[in-house]
Amino acid sequence: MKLVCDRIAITEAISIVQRAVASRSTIPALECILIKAEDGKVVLVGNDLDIGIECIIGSEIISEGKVAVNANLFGNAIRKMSGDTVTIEVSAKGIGDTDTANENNVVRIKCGNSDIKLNGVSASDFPEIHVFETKFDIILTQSELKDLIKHTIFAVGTSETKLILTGCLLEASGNNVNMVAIDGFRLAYKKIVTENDAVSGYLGDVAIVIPSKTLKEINSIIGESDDKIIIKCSNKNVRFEFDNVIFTSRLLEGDYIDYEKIIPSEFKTSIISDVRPLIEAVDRASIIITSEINKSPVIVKIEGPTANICCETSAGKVDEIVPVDMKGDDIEIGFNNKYLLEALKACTTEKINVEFVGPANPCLITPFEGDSFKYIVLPVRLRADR
Amino acid sequence: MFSEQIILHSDLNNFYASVECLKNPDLRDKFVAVCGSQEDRRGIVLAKNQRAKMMGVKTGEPIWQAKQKCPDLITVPPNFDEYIKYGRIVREIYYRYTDLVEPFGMDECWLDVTGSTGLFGDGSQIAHKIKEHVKRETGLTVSVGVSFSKIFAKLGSDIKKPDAVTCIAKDSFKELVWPLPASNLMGVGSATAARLKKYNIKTIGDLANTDPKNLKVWFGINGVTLWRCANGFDNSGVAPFGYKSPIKSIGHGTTCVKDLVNADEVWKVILELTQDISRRLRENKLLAGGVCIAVKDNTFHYKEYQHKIDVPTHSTMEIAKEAFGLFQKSYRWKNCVRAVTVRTINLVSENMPHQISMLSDETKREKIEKLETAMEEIRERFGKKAITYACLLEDLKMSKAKDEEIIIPRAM
Repeated sequence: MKLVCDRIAITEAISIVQRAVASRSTIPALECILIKAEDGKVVLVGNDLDIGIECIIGSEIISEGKVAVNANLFGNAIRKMSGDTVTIEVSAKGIGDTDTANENNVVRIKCGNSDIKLNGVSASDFPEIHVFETKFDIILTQSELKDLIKHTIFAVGTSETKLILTGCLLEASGNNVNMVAIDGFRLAYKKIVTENDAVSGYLGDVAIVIPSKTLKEINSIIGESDDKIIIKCSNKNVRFEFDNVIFTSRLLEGDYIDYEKIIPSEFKTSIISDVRPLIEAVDRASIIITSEINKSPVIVKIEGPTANICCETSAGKVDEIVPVDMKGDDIEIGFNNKYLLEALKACTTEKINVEFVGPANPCLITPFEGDSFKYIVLPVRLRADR
Repeated sequence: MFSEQIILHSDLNNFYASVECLKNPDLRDKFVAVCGSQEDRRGIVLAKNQRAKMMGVKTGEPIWQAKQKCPDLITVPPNFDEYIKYGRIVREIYYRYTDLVEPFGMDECWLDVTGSTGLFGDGSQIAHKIKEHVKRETGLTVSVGVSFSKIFAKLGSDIKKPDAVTCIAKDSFKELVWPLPASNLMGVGSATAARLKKYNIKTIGDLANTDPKNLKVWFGINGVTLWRCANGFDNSGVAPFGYKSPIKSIGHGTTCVKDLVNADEVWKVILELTQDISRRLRENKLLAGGVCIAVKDNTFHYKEYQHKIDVPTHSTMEIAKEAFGLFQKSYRWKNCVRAVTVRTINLVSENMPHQISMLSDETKREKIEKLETAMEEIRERFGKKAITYACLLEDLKMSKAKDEEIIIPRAM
């Protein structure tokens, strides 16, 4: 195998596929990047068995072939070299022409005045990325997908006991696409409307549950651009195709929680407020919450035209007053400051509705106008009232 | 910093057996052992009197074995109410000398008499006074250790028995204490003693002269504590009158009359045990944030399992289900089950604010809560047997005798 490519292009490609390389594994091949020069194109592949990333780079192929090489060593070597073009070669004979077992897998990297040889691993040891037949596609722009991920991922579950909740639900119906994350204590729902029909290849509504790790990695690779991203789905797997990247991941199987049932529809108290002063007030009240164990709640008291946000811990006491438009009964309700703050910070409108059912019932945060998001935070029961 | 503490450790000799002999003077000159019921498979020696002890009868051995050593052994069933009563009477005597009395089990107490010397004489004199008063007023004998630390006071009370006083003074403790085997030191059980032996530490003196850094590596922080104890550096105080150590766990266990052969039988025993735990959680206004089960199979293989409960609870049903779920997940049924203990851990106050979860059905929880509260109220008025779960009406293979749980408090 011999190829010549742009150093910057391959550096970028390495940093993308490295996200799918296991940092430490008992199988050496899993710590590798596969370099594939076949069918007139060069593809870098990373695969940690959870996710697999393929990235195509423009290059001139002098002779075809493939090899796997330790991702860290390869990445560091190329990053630290100086020069515009890199020549990568797997020599037919090994270093010093000795009869070593891996004599055919020595990767020679030449760039500028440097000549680095790395011992590679046979490409046949590298796990294939699962190829699957797709049932339907969801087509979004990169910024749309980023929007969905960014505004829900904070509420994704982390407990392995409820595995399905460690992923986000992606639903598409016509040109309505939404993502939902639930960790048991809160819910984040974000909706976007696409220009064209988002679903192709299937008539009807579709829903998949994508592992949060996959979404976090995708989110850091894609940009805020209007370039398309095609999400190809089967029942068990998903493939994101965008730019020069193909990102494959398994899906979480099982029934997602019927989240619409959790969203309350009748309320006793509702307020309209600017979101900024609420965020600032809760943020300041959080200053004195220093202990994660025995965590003190932030208490929200709504009486007339003000929301009183206060908190008292062994470290001190904070009292905040935020003017609001209020309808319905007075209420006093406690929250985990982190849950409330993250929900408020994810609000994309200046004005929001906050609606309450009771001190032991979910609280719903929605935009003052539109329906682009719904956040639900479950309260902290202040005192055993039994 | 402060003047030296004067600590007494008073140990009632052969407590259970002595009480039985007091109640029934005919027994006094015979060989007596207080034993659990053989029918219920608790046929072991709980305590023995001085004469039985001379014949080599040991606490914890099965009755048949004891009878081999001592064919004339008379076994009597235990009477815990009596023991508690006598324990209290004796403690009243201790309180005449100091308010710093810390019970350790039913028959042992530490007394801090540092502040009482002006009234009653030095430590040794107080020890003798206590010993005489207990004997005169109750007929029981005590052995008392007098020293400058709790650990050495306890050690002292073990040196001469019965009806004796042993003083371990700061300037002479090395001669007296250091030649003793390390296992005599409180905190060194059989497992620790065996491990110490591996490092050629046989006596308390060996332990005291080992570099604490090494002990820390071998035994963790407890190793250093042992080293401090062996050197007499232990300066823990005696808890004052009325001190209650915070409850860390509430549990209940039983050895079954017959082996439990399937999961259903285990479930019933767990449910029955949990009812008492639930009641005690309610009494103490606590919720369980975790559950721990200990299972002993019929080969006496013993294992403990524990896990967290997502939403802290005091409900019988919820705790029992968690405990049983844990059992189902962990127990492999290689052998039948002999004994089960359920213990609730990570206890939190009922009044602690708690995060509501959408994964638990709050309305269902509230229903269960109301049901169980009603059951508790009925039981309070009409007795424990007035209402129960139907499945618990069958034979549970549990002893009919009331299981009195003896809580052995730890040293402070």
